[in-house]
Amino acid sequence: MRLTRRQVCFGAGGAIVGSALPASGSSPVVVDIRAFAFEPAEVTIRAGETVRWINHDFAPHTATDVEVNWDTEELEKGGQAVIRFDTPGTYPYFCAYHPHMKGVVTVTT
Amino acid sequence: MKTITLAATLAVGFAAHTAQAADKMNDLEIAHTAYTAGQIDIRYAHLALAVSDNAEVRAFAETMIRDHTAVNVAAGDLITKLKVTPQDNDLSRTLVKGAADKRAELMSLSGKAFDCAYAQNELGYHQVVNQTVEGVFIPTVTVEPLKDLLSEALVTFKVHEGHAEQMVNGLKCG
Repeated sequence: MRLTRRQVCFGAGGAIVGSALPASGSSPVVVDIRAFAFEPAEVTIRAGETVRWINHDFAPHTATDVEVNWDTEELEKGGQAVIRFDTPGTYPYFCAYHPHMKGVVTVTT
Repeated sequence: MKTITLAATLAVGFAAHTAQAADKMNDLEIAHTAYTAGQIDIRYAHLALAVSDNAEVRAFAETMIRDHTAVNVAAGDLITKLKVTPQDNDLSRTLVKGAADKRAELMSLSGKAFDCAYAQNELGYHQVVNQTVEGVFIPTVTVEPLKDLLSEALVTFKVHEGHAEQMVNGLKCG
């Protein structure tokens, strides 16, 4: 099993990919990708908090903002990515490889 | 809808043949056939990428390469872990021969004719494979990790079948 970890900071200025991001101070909300679905499909966090996507399927997946402002990039089985959301709003996303897979991240103040 | 009916009819007829060939297969033969079926679809997809200019068809083909490669990598890892060698068999040979004939047919086509033929074949192929995996392979295999792998792979293949059906409908092949 190959584990990948990626951190992305998403704010008003768009997505910044890096590995030296300051911790948000709370554990990420976890979204499991299983059987071609995001579980849970909808999550709510506060600004500055993070979401962690973990792919459990054989098929590679992504979590990609519908406006393509942020993206986990490809997650193989066992792969995971963490994205921090700094700006309140509603962020619908999908899997770029399997577009019927959809989810929403809601960020509150 | 006509195209789906045709594909379904072909699939049912071929599935009966396939189910007959799959009768009394052992675990190593099933592993070989499952792997072979994935490789066949990857080859169809590479052909589609070489021939088709249709964005939907190309996206589907790329997904087939990505997903079937991932499943077969997992199958290879399991084979290595179990220290066994999959066995070639009549059903694998039937699939390979059928796929060679279908590729020859597809290579004689271009444009929308190719796209429709590829899409319809993908639908029919996934119907046959899924029926065989679900109805014959999974109930037959005795090694639990192989049963688990086939069950998980079936989830992927069923999504492909649905995707292929959408592609056939979207192409309006008539």
